[in-house]
Amino acid sequence: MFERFTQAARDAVVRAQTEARGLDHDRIGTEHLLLALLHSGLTVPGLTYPHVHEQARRRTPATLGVEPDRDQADAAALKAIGIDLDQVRRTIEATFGPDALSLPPPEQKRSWWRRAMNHVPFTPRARKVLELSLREALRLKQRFIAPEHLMLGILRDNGGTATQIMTDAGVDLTALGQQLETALLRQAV
Amino acid sequence: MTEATDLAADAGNPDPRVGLRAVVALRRLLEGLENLQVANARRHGWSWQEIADALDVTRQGVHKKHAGRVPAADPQEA
Repeated sequence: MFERFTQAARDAVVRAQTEARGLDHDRIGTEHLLLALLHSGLTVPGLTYPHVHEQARRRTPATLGVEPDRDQADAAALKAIGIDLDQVRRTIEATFGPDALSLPPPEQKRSWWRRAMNHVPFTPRARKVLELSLREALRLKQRFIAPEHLMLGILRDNGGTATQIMTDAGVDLTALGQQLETALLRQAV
Repeated sequence: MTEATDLAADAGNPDPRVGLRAVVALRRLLEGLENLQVANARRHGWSWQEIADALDVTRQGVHKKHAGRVPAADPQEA
């Protein structure tokens, strides 16, 4: 599906990750996609980037960096099979110095683009938006997915954080959808 | 129960979750140790081939996995 994305749409998806990171969110949600689209220059009447940014910050608490202590849980799990992680650590540190042994985050199953996204996963809703943007492109008989299709995908996912922010800001979702469609059909060859 | 009997009980715990969780922790420890030891070998001037032989893996495999995070011992080799 991602091979149909135009460069601008790809940039927006990558930018959504930057937005999520900037807000210390550990998932890319619809609000980060919206932020990325606004950042890329797509305009939505009545909506500004700073406003959405503030709303995204308020609506989702920062989650990055507050994971439970994995090392502690690992130590307990290893103890169950007779391995003393603290002892291992002490032995290593005696030779290699303090904090020499750092345990890497566990490997997860990832598809290539998830790896390319550098490990910030999408929320199911944001993934749905990406699928909906593909569906919108197909509906408009277009073989590419542009940032406008992504925005249409966001609009079709009613009830997501992005549409909530837009509705609360007084954006007319129906009118915006029509405007995007017009713009897309005009640029279609 | 003493700590020793606790341990014995845990080691024989039939709950798959306990055993599988230990495998995950062990894998993570293994990765941590491998990173540390490969970096150390590089600092000692070992070639990727020598490290691969010691780890019983292919040179390509060890290079692909570690070259990005370990400084090259010999700038010519990278």
